[in-house]
Amino acid sequence: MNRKLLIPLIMLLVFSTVAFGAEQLVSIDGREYLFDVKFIEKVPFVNAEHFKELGLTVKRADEAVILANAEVEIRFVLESNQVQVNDLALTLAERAFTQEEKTYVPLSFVLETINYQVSFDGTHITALSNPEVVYPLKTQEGYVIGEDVKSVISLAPGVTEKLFALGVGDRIKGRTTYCNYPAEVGNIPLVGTLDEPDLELMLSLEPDAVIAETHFKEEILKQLKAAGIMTIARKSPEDVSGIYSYMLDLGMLFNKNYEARALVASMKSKAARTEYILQDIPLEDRPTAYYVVGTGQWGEYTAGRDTFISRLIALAGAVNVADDVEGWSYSLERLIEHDPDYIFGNDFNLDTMLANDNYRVLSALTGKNYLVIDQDVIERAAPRALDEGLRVLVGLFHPDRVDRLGF
Amino acid sequence: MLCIALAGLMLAAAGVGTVKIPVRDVARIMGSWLLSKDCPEIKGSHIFIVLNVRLPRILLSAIVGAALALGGTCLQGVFGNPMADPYVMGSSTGAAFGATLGIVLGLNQGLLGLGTTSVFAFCGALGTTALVYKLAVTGDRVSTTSILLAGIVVSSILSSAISLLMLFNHQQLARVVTWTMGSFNGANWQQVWVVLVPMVIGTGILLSQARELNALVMGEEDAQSLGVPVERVKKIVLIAASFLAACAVSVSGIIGFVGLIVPHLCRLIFGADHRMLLPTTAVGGGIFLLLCDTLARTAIKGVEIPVGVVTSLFGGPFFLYLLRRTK
Repeated sequence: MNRKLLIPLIMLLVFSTVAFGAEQLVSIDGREYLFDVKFIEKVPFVNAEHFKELGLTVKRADEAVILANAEVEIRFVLESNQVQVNDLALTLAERAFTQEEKTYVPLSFVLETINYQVSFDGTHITALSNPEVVYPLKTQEGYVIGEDVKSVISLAPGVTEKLFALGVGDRIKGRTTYCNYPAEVGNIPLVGTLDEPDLELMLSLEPDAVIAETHFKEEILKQLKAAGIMTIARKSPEDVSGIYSYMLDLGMLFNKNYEARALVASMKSKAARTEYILQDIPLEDRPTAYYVVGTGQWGEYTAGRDTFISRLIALAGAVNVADDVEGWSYSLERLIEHDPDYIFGNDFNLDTMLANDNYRVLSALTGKNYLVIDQDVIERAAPRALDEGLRVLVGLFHPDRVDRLGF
Repeated sequence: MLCIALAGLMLAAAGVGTVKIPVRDVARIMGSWLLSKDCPEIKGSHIFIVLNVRLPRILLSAIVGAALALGGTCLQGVFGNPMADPYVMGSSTGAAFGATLGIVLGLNQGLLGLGTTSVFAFCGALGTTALVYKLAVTGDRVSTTSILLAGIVVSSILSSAISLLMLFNHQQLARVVTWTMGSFNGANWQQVWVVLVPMVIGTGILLSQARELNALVMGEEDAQSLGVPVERVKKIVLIAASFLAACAVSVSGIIGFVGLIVPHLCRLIFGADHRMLLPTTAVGGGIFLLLCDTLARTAIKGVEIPVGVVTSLFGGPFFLYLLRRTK
């Protein structure tokens, strides 16, 4: 080949790869866009300016970039994983950044917040808009919500946590004695215990709605319904996607739809990031783990394969030895036979195990591979399980990789 | 006279509760309700509280208290045993077993407006008493000793069955325990209507056996020789008392001491003539349980003390005192 032509040809080739490599075909509601997209460890970041084509305004402030429309304002703090959606502060597993004067933000997060469903098949990014949430709307129990729920009584600690995570903690007028997180609950009056709440107190608070989860007294809910209060009883989520749909439902009740979608997107980003940094570890190389719900003379209790906790363990890169049962009952003999690599639980349970001869043969205890955790973080299927719990578990099972989590 | 006391206590109880509603308002609400009028000037939630939260609860606790006390008195008469209570034929363990089964199965099979647990508890109680009766009856006669023994045995078998159920359903443990401790929290009008008719019928039947019970207390042979149809009376009383106990536990859980203490208390005050004793224990039982339940819901603000705990706290020491006095 002619040497003189070779060099310009090579330069042309290099330029074209650089130019086209940064351009990604994104299909939004059937329409094809060519966006400036950078993939960083499998996560697509898009040049923020492109969102102008989708009806958002894009503004640069000092260390932040703000995307907004009439209903939502998404504010990324550059070079950090912090983002604020309206009044709700969230953290992601990724960081918005600037490169060559251009600002890049996580594509899925923004699209999902503005009500698109995003999928990536390896080459093509597709986004389809979800139906808009219109008020008045009908809940699955048949209640009609005019604008939103303005005041609520929470009859479960998981519900209280989720409401605060959504940013509507100030609308909670009453809580149970078990609702202990976050610290702001101290300002909310008590209405009694899970099993025997004070009916008169609840009625006098005149809430728009009462939300209960799993454990509640039927007769009390019946009376609340008879008094004309919107009574919602849900099952606690049994897997991670259950938390997502629960939060979206709450978003609809309280007209915090953008915040709910953003919260779900942030949780998805953390779950995806965790899977990504652990993906090269095959199943047989993952450590085994056991979570102690209860132990001692009353029997062994743990989280079986159909529980939220089991799925959290799997997400954090370990194998739950109790996946051979469903439900919560286990046996000491099985535990000894499995001899899990790691054991974790609350301080009372772990103390019981450490003090008792029966458990001496467990290598996790003798080898100091056990962890005392705050059971509320793991057992309540709330955003905290992904925000904090995941990090704690990955730190236990894969301490060499936890710093790569990014959250 | 006692009835006036009961009525007075009911009205007083309607005035107290976690939420402070001025007595004047309470009186106006009740008055308007009786006259089928409206009171627009009083807060809707207060009206609901007085008419739908407190009133059914007051009535229910009085009815259940009357049933338990009356049942207790009659059973004490039939068995000639001052320690007999309305659960002696296994109704309490039977109800607990039924309720546990209902909670564990997690069905939504209500009946007549009562929840699953209540229906299962009722069936459990009745079923158990029927079983105990069947075990103890020989031909046409039923020996009181046999009944007591059969009751104890069946109760312990069912207790073990409950423990077994709890083993496999650890998560429901708290709910089962709460139910067993007894509670009127969440009582509604439906419950009142559903138990009222059976209770009235049962009470009527028992009251009619007053004379016969007087004779039975002297001993079965003596009563027989006086012309009292001993076997028939025993049958009627056992069935009616068990039925009352089953109705009671199905709506309130297991509340002890009412059926044990109130009969003795009334005997001390009014004497042992059943013609006077039966009606007074009924009303007395109503007063006692109403008092205990009112304390259970108002003693500590925002906290619901299980009513069975209150009755034991009162009944226990009092029973010991009685025991010492009769020594």
